[in-house]
Amino acid sequence: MENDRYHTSLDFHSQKKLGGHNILPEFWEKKPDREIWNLFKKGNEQAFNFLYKTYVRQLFKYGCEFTSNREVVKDHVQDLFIYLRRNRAKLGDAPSIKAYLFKSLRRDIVRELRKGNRYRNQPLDENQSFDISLSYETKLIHEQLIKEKKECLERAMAKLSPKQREAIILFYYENLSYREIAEVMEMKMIKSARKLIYRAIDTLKGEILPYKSSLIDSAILLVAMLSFLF
Amino acid sequence: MKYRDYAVEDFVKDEFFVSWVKNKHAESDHFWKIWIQNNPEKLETVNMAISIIKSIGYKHRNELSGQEYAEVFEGIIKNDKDPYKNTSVRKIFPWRSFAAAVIISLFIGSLLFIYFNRTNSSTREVTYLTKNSPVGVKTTIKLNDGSVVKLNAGGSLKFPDEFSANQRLVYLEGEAFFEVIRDETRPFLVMTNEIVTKVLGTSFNVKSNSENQRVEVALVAGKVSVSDQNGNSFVLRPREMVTFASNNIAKGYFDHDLVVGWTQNKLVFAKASDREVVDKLENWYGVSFVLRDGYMFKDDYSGVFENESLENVLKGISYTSDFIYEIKDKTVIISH
Repeated sequence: MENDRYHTSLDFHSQKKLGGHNILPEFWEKKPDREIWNLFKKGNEQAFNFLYKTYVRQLFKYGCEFTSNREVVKDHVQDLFIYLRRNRAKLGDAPSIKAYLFKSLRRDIVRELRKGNRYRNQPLDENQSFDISLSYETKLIHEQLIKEKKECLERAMAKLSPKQREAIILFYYENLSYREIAEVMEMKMIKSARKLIYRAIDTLKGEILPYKSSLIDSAILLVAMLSFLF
Repeated sequence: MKYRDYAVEDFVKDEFFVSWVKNKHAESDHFWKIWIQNNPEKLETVNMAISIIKSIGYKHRNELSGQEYAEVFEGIIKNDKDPYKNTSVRKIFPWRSFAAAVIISLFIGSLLFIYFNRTNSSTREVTYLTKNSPVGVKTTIKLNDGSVVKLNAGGSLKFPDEFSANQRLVYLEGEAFFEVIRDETRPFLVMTNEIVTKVLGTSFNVKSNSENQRVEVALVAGKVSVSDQNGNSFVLRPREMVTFASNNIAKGYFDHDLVVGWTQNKLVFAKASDREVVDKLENWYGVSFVLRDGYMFKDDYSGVFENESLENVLKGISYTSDFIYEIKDKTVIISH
């Protein structure tokens, strides 16, 4: 659903901004990050618009996991883009634009939270930061995951450390690689990011494995009940 | 380990696999499609891993609204195009305007401060005088502009020996009745517990209690404005009174004798509590009370005494509250 909305806004903006130039959104989507970044650095406004359209909602959602003050998050996202536009010629390379943006936003918000401005600082409770939910939306899930098992897994995820949960969101939801996660979370080695996910999955393993048996169990139970009825 | 030997948890850890699941157009699509066809026994494991990966998401639904999306974008564009408007356009959030307002008012404030200080000090040094009214004594002070201040017992007034050209500022503790000579070029300001009463020319009563931070301003004639430091401001008309207490502000009419009777030596009690009666008598006559045998005056005592001696007042009160009194020098002993 979110994807649909995003695409609508993308089309809308592209048509408006690009006017006569009939450049499809895919033109940008298919370009490698390095190329988009270089165009942006050279002052290409379409490249900037693409960056904003693609990342502003993701950045906002991510930032909201650090503070409960959404104004602060909006402010930081805005400041980040302003900074990028002002210093575009001086910017370094960004092999992964998403990791670059996420890292910058994360650093800015965390830095301000540490400073302890009491009017703006409402850090999110550690236990709530990066709360994970398992959605029902995909048809596949409906078939595979039984509700109560899903709830068990959710509970187990809630027991992970905030950093582990953050890494999980970045890995599975935001589709970042281990290298990108290490960059965003300011870890020196890719190994550390890998370890973070591995440990989390190993903790959850107990909740993942019994699925199959319980699925079979309930199938047997269902068959037994049906045969009893008829 | 080969993919053939992977369990669910191994698939979900695998970057290559996860990126294929998340990205439909991944270059690895060809590989996975063929791999699954060739390893049909792994289909269930793969599907399980896919369903877990795809279902993971944020629990919090923090979505940027359409309006916010546009606001942030506008803030970025405007900030960029007009480098001179950086601070005002970019800072679209209230706290920033607030901070800006504070800084600007501090700046203006310090300019004003410097300006007034200079005009004052360039003419001459201001010397302040302080007059105290001891308990039991009322003092009348004539200021150099002709205004008269009647200071009630226990009060204190601080004022310059000569008022400046642009204002007449005095500091009050306790209670005083002011009769201010009209001078529209120099407003008369009374400072009490962070409350300012500003007048041009009029007569009014100010009562402050530094213990409970209570300030009462009552206007007899003319017009005054009263403001506190939180931006609350009131204009009083004759017979109106405003009371600033620690947690509320009240405006209303007042009983003339009760509030300003003291200036005509009228000692007034209106439904006074036990404590109020004692405090008022102690201050009025400069005595201290000793209540023997746990005696308490009756609450809600009302009465008016004009130019009466302490003995007559005690006699009067004892008609309704049954007690025996004894006056020893400056001490009043009350007992059953």
